[in-house]
Amino acid sequence: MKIFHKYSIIVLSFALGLLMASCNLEPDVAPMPFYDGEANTTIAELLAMHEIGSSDSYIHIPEDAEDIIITGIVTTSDKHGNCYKYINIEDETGAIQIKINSSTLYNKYRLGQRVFVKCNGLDLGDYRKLPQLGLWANDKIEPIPSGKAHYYIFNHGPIQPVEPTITMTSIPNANAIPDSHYNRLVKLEGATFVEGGIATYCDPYAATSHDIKMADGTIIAMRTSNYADFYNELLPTGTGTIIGILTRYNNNVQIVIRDLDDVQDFMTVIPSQTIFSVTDYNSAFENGWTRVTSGSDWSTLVNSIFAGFVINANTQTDSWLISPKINLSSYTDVSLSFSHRAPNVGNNMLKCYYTTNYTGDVASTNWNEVPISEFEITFLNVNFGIPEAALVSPNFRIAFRYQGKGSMWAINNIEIKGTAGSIYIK
Amino acid sequence: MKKSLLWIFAILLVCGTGFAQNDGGKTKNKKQKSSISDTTAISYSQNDENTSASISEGQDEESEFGAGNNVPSLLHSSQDVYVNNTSYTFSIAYFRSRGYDNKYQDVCMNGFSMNSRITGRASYSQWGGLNHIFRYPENVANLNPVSFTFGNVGGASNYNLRASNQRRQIRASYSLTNRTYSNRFMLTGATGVLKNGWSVAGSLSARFGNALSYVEGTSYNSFGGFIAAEKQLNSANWLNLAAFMSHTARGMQSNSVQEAYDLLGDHYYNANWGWYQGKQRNARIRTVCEPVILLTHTFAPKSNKIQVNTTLGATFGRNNTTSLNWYDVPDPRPDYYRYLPSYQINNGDTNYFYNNIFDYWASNNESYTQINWDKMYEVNQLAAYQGKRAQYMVENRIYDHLQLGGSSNMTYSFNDHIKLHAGLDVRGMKQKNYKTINDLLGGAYWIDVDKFSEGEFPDDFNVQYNDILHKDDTLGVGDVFGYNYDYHIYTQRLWATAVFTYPHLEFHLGGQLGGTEFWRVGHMQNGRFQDASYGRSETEGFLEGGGKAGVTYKINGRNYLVLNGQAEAVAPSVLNAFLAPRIRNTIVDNLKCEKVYASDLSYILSYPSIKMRATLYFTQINDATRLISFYHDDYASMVNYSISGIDQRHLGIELGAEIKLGSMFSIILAGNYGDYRYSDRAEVTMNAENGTDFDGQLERTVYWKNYHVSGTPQVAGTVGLKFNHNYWWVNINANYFDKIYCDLNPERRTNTARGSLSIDDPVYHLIADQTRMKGQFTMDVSVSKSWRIKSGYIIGFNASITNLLNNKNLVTTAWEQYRFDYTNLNVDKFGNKYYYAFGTTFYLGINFTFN
Repeated sequence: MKIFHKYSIIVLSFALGLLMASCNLEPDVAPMPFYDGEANTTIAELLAMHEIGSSDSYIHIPEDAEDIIITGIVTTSDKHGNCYKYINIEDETGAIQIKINSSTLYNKYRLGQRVFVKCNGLDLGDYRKLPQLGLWANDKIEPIPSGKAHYYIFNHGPIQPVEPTITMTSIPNANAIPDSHYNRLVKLEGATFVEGGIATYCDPYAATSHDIKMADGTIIAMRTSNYADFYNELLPTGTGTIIGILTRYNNNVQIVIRDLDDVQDFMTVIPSQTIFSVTDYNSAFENGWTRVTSGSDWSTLVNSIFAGFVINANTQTDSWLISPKINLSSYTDVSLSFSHRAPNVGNNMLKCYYTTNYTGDVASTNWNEVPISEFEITFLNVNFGIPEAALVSPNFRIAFRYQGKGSMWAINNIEIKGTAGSIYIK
Repeated sequence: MKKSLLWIFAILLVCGTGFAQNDGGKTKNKKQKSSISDTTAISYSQNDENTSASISEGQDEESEFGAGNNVPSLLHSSQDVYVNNTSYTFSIAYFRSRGYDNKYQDVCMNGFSMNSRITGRASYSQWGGLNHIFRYPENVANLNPVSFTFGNVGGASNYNLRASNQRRQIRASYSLTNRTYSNRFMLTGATGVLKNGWSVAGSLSARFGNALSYVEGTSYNSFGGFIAAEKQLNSANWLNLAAFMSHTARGMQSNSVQEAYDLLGDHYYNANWGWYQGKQRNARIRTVCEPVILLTHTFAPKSNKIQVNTTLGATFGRNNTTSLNWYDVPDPRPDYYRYLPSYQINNGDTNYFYNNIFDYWASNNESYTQINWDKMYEVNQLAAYQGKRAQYMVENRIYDHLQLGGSSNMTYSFNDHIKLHAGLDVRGMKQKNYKTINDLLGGAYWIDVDKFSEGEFPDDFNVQYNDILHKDDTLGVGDVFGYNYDYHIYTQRLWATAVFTYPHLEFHLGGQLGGTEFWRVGHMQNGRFQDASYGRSETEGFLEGGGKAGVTYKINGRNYLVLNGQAEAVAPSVLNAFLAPRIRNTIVDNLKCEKVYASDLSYILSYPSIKMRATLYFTQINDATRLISFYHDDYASMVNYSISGIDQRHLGIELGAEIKLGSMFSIILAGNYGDYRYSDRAEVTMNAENGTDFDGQLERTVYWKNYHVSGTPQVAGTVGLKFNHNYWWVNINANYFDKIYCDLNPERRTNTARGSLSIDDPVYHLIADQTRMKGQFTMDVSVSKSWRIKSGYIIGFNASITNLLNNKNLVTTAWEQYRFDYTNLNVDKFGNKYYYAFGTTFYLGINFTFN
């Protein structure tokens, strides 16, 4: 074809060549954080600068003095809220807590991050004999303002795995523990929570201590913040391993865990599961709920606010509402719950029962009463732990009985929960 | 300095009339109907909140013949087969020729540059709606030699506003459309050159109505006028006075996150409006009225050896955008991240609040998904009742400017082979930047404090005040608050281009020299920066210069090879020169001129039946600057982020071909394959507006080398069929757009954001990788026809349908929010924001001409 001059080929190949060369460029990568300097002081040397006395005190590390630079690996994380406004770093010689005024440090100074700390300008002190680095004010070490932390603390290099270097099977007296062990990540082996299976990690409104007993009977306290997201979990039972930061409060030795992964090899509480509930009230009577009626009858009501069983008797009534049979034989720790309201009720009019031998006839069945303590115009919840003796039967049923007249009774959110098998596993 | 230059200019103006002979032989490029482009409202986004400088909010389009043009086109050249066939077709995707920002294209009127000395961009809204007049600019594409100015790498265009240039006729048009406005009327009359040497032309325009507009809650009211009168003084001298203005008030469309679009099933969800007293009220109204007056002297003796055009120009007026403001109350913007279901999930609530909020969005409960004006009034009225300050209000963000200047250009033909174009331009500009209270929404008064400073400095009470000279004032409607400062800018230019024409070779050589000086004057003494906010800043001055050259080798009458190049050093914009321009006089360290190097190599075919151009282009931009400001979670403050050393490399090929099939049909093939990237790392200086770290500025490096530059599809192509017979014109096009990239948040490419994340960590890639949008197809069809009713009477109609297949997934603008979640490194918390191209839109027009 004569249309294109030979030069066009040259231009086109040149163009394509250049484009091809340019289109496969890899995007830039920001480098790992890098501190351009070296540590000239070990943490032990730093700690030695401040003598811990009978009350909280500090020394100021002057800005115009020779640089004091330490380095260490971050061993804390505030991701779960328990290490609040501080990080801990440790080297081979010791560990120190650095207070920073931020509650979200875990992505800035990540667990396992090597940091360098230029201490000049900071204050080294102690709080109830626990060494801290920060700024002294109001008679204590206060946190470094978040916006100023970058003047003192420098990340360096990639994240490294963090393992406790000290294993403890016994807790000596606070003053018998070497200073280099405080603020470090330690591992307690053969530990038992004194209140395991009974208490939660922390009370809702205040930091809480729970004693941990070691195999030899010595005691250490686990200190947990109510801001920890696991504060409401139950302490485990049995014996296991606990990893955490070793601290002291005057002469009490304490450990602070970072999250529940630090509590290992204990018996685990299996959460209960729903065994039975009414999901569709519209078809409840087709799905095994039966009525034995004299006078007014049970019915179901479903609207946008309420879905449940209702009975409203104007005439003298004795009506039963009986559940389908429920097999509880493979469960432990079973409980029944429901909510109900009864605006205008006389004595002993409204009853809830359970049975394991329903005969088809309410009169010949052995009924056990589920106590209902209150009847109110507003909805109340009823919780009842079903006795273990009742759990063997595959023919468990519950029933509601209305005797009398003049009140309405509405029941919903009927649920039976329990744990399959044992509630603990190792 | 500037005064003396003005004198030089005045002398030249007088001397210009003394030169002799010869018209420049300028050709006017009459555009074909299908490629007429209309005005475009470029947003005046002077670092407006979280928008990057290149984003326009809402568009104006619709030419006489259905040609909408969202991005003011860099592609004007009427004779260029690529430009002709892409300028309208690609505009739906906000395509930018070669990936250039609009500031790289010069727009002139009678040789007087209309590019703002502040943004660098021409503001097409200044002549919005006056399409009868502003239809046929003289265009020079890309790096070709220009006669009326030195020219920029994106080309140059010049509107001839001489009354004698307007054809003698009366013309009336009406259009109906469902885009940004519903109706447009235009009426124009021109006398042509009368026997007494006078010519007069005038035009009126109105655009209004939102009954059909595509995006809910938007509005449009625009009125424009143009008048020009010219007198021929003698055989060689003309004097023309032209003045025009366009007053436009638009209720704007918001941009939003994909989550909001998905929940509502609507890519055109507009968070800017809410119900108020039974009507849709938009919180973001942009009102622009910036008149232009141009006095032009033309010296053009009959011999055609010389022509000198000299224009004295004045532009002035106001650009005001309203916006919500609030103090110590929840953010009133309905698509604020905390009001979206994902925020509840991120906070671990998948039940109560999540379900409620999900339901509000899924059912489009407009008291939740749109602005709740009633709630704001309620809060304010309650506060007023207790004697307390207002907590919500609508503010005006105002830019007032006055610009005076003049430019002169001449063309001199030495002989048949050598022609010289030369000129100069001198001007001064002052822009006032301030906020006033537009509406207190039922509240009693306002107090001017920075909400992010309050409480940060309990021991220094003054810190929180934006103006400690008026800290006790209780402010009402119309009062100035927040910030108040002026920019003063002076520029001078001298340029010349020589063009040499020989039988087998043409070449040109040109140079430009200039200077820019600017400073800031603060009218408030800011409590955070008491010594560096009030009064005049230091003056920054820059020497600018550039050169261009090109050669055309005419292989034969059908084949051409063209090689062009241009290099320039341009002063940084005053917008990027101050660390925190709203409140401080401090100038960014190491301000440098931006350097632009551009070249292209073209192969052109010119047969009667085949026209084709293939071009390889390469542009390197170095040391560009940008200032962005945004809320930084780590510092709990608005921060200013001054980026310097931005280097970009734009490389690509353009191809345009038009093949005639018989006398009635032609086939169009046109496309661009570009690769636009940051070619090096950039440097950032960051400082907080709330005064945290008074002296400490954070330095950062942005690791974005080889990431893509956003703002345009880098790939665009069209296949079209044209029909033309007996004054019927039909165009059908199928278009494809790809390589559409999300604009980068530089912070996410710093080592602060990366921290010590491993490059194999998926979180690293979520943070650092650049989002690329899916490629999209669209189709357009347009028809026009005109009839001569009788001699001198012509009636015409035109109809066009854009995006015939109703593709609603074409992203025109995408950017990462600058706010970044340092706590959880969750990039979806402040998700990307998007604008989508409209689905199917129509445009109907009828026009009547009597001459």
